[in-house]
Amino acid sequence: MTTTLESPTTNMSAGQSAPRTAERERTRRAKKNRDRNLSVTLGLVLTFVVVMSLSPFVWAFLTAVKPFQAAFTNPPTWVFEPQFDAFVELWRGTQFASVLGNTFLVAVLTVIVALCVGAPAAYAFARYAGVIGPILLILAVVLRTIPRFAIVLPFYEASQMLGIYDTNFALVAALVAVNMPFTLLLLIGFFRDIPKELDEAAMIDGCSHFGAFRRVIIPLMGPGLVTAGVFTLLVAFQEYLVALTLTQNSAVTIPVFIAAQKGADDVSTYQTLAAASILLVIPVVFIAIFARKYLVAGLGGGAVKG
Amino acid sequence: MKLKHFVAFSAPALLLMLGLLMIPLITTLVWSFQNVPVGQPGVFNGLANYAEIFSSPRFGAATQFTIGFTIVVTLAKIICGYGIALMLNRIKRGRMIILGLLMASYVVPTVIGALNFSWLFNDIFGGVVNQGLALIGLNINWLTEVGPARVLIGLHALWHETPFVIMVLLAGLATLPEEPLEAAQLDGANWWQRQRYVVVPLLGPLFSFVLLISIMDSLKVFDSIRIITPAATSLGTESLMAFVYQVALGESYRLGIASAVNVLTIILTVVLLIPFLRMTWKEARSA
Amino acid sequence: MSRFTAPQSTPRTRRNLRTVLALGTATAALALTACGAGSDMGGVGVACDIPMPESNTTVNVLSYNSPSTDPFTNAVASGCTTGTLTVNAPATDFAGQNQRATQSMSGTSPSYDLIEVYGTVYPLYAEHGWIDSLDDQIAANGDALGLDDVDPVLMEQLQYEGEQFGIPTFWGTIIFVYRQDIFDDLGLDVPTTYAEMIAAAEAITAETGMVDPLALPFNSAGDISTAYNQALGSLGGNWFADGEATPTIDTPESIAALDTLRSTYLAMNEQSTSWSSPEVITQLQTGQAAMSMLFAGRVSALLDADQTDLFADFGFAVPPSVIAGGTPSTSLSVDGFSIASNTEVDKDLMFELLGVATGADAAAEAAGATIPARNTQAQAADLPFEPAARAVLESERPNGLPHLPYMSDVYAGMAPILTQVVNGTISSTEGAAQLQAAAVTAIAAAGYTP
Repeated sequence: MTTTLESPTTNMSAGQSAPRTAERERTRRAKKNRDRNLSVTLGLVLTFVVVMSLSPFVWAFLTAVKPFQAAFTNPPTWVFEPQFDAFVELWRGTQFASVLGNTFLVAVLTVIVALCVGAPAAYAFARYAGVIGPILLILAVVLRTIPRFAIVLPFYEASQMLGIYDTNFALVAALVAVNMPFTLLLLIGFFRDIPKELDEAAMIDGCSHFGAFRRVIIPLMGPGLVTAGVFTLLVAFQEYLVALTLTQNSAVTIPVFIAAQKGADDVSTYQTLAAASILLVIPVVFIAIFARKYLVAGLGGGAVKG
Repeated sequence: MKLKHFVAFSAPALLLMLGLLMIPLITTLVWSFQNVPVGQPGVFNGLANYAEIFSSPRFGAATQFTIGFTIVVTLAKIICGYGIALMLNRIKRGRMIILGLLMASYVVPTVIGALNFSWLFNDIFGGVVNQGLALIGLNINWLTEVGPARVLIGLHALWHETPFVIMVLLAGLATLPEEPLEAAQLDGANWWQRQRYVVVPLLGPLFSFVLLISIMDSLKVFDSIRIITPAATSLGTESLMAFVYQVALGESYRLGIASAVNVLTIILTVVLLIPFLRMTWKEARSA
Repeated sequence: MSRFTAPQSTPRTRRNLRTVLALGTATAALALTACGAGSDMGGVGVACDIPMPESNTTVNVLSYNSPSTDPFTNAVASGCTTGTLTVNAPATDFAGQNQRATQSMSGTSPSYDLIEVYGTVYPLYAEHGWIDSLDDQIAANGDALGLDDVDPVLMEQLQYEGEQFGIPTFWGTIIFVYRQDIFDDLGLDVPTTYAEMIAAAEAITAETGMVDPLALPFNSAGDISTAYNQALGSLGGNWFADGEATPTIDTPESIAALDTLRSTYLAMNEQSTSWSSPEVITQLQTGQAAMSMLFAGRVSALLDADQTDLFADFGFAVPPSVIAGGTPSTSLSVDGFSIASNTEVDKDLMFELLGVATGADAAAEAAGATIPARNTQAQAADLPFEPAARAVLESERPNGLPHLPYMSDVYAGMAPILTQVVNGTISSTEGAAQLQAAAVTAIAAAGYTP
């Protein structure tokens, strides 16, 4: 491509006439003003979008802190004295605390197992040039797309037969399996970015292939592993269908608990439900902002091959 | 890498996928030809399950709804997501904080998000949206009429999943090479032409990626339906997966029928995915 | 373009940090409400005088959450968690109750030992051998339970083929709930027919401006089926031919019942097909509605001064009949506990726990919210809605659902058809034909023949 653009510095050094520079300066300022106006307008539009997007959570918060009598009026009550009884009731009167603890346990275990099993395999897929790699990759994509019920219903029968139904073990196994194709896709993208020469250099230095993987490649994979970890964590935290089918009592996770509370035949649970949503939304938004870099890298990077 | 090493590194994951994904899938396939009452072994009954499904208007309705939902929601998500990504890319300040806040509806567990979202449309919870619509003379029964209920499920999907599209496309916009755009500008291309002929083609792989994810997620829609419209059968919002749930665990325990629906859904999904699979195959071979 | 690097944001990190801090503070503030988590589950006033197992034992109770069931569940969960014994009662919604029960009891690795049962499900459980017959245990150890305090009519509701499979905890019939103050102001009488009920609604709208005075739970996910049972019973119709697995819901009575549902729906808000009891109760509590028909066990929220300013204004009566001369439009529901047959816990211990869960102390705790099956506690509580419910119970036809193992299958497929009739998509005649066909299919699919 040929370009006629000149940078301002070149203009100056070329000793262009002063009036011409002033004119340019004016156009540049006009453009800058236009840009700023556009930027402000877009900022306002986007702020509106954000407000709309967060409104369900704001409304849930208002529902949670309204006095009971004000929470269910139509038209809604806007002036009220906030109270936090629903939050107290949530912790004291329901199993929220223990379910939350179990959800974290399940999510963390899922991440650990998924990474320990997934990372070496993703490395192998990224490095092996034969025809098996691509075939498995296609398989992984297909497995990622199939309905979870097709896997979870047999899982349910099998776990009943093995006597591990409604245990964290069965739930973690199912979550790891269901998400393994995606974990692989994500990690393969990251491994591809690490030059092959590094493996070879390490092996020349006397490392075994596995030694090279463990000592050289894994440390370079920090961001990739964090990305895959954050994703698996979120999925384990969000997953409803798998947990609904495989748990009853001792391995219940947050989404199942919330859905069960929702169906409770009791108006007063609506407020504790709103309180629970808010308590869960805040830390998750926290993660979204904090780990945004990894989320973007994971979504845009690992899974796309362009 | 040698085959020996390939096997050593990938064996645990392959065994895990074989045991915990392939075997259940094969079980599903076998069950689809059996009558499987709960807690009892299945009995082969040939194509009876498929015959029953194809003669069931409920399955037809669920298929139609799922496909229609997938098409409409995917298009809407991509248009809205690209528009917002373009706007985000133009503003100078606060981009990251806006993106972070927009992500909230995506990362919150669907069950919770759907619950909070539906409350806005529920008069029992004050019905703020309905209050707003009443100002312009509209009265919509979101939770009791077929049309509005479908729109509501679609709106939820849009609210829940558009941030993902925004995030991916914004990441793409941020790394666009400068030269082609500048060249187009110098050639006198207006904004629309630059988008049409430069930006969108450059982001092509990302568009097909979000398309792929959106199709996959939409065909599997379940959580939001179970929360927002529990009476999905009556409201025309029963998706294939909601249908499977009702057949397998909700109303009856007919695992055979449910498995047959699963098999059909897999076939449908794979057919829709063939273009993407070919693309992935080519890239993987050339990599 | 194989990878994108995340847009960098170093200058804005500080602002992000501030947001993160703000969110962190908010979370911490809300988390402070967690002090003493799980310490207030109720049931502490219940004595659990049972012989403790020698080794550590965990017992799981499956019981859907509702103000009526919770006191009994909590009685055994909190009351008996002591020493070597731990009793858990995880949260379950009504829709999930049957799913979980079936999953747990049909397999070999039970998740639950003590199961809440009610009209549509226990015959199925008994028929499959999923719950134990209690006759031997009652004969051997039953005296301590004081079962003679439970109304025999209620005991009978949890029998299957002559054997006792559950012990009742509470019961309820559908009663008429109305705003006594408004009725008095306008000089209205408690309606005795649906026509009078709809006329009263029109009068209230005309006089007070209340838009939707009549609010019935017509939820198309389930309540609509109860409404149908009410109308069918009141009109003298029956679900099945006597002693046969042949449905009779395409009869003139059934068509008339469907007509009734449609005309009642037209007198209500269009959104009523999304209402279950909680939605109706909030409308009564906030003064948006003035009349309803609800299960007696659910109306105690209307008498709670913490929940509504109108707590002193509600009246309770026998519900109207569909047409003059019919029986009241009602439905009887009896809940109780059963012992899961596949439990790994010692059956004697289970029977002891069953005794606590259905015992006098639990009944006393529950009596504020619902009508316990035990007469002594029911009368001692002096509930304002109890006389109306009892009058219905002792009437000619309290109209419980038939005790048949395929009833839950028949019931499950009905709601979508009923909804179509109610919103005018299909006629009552067409609806009755579809109900009949759906019932025949459901019975066959469940493995029963006429």
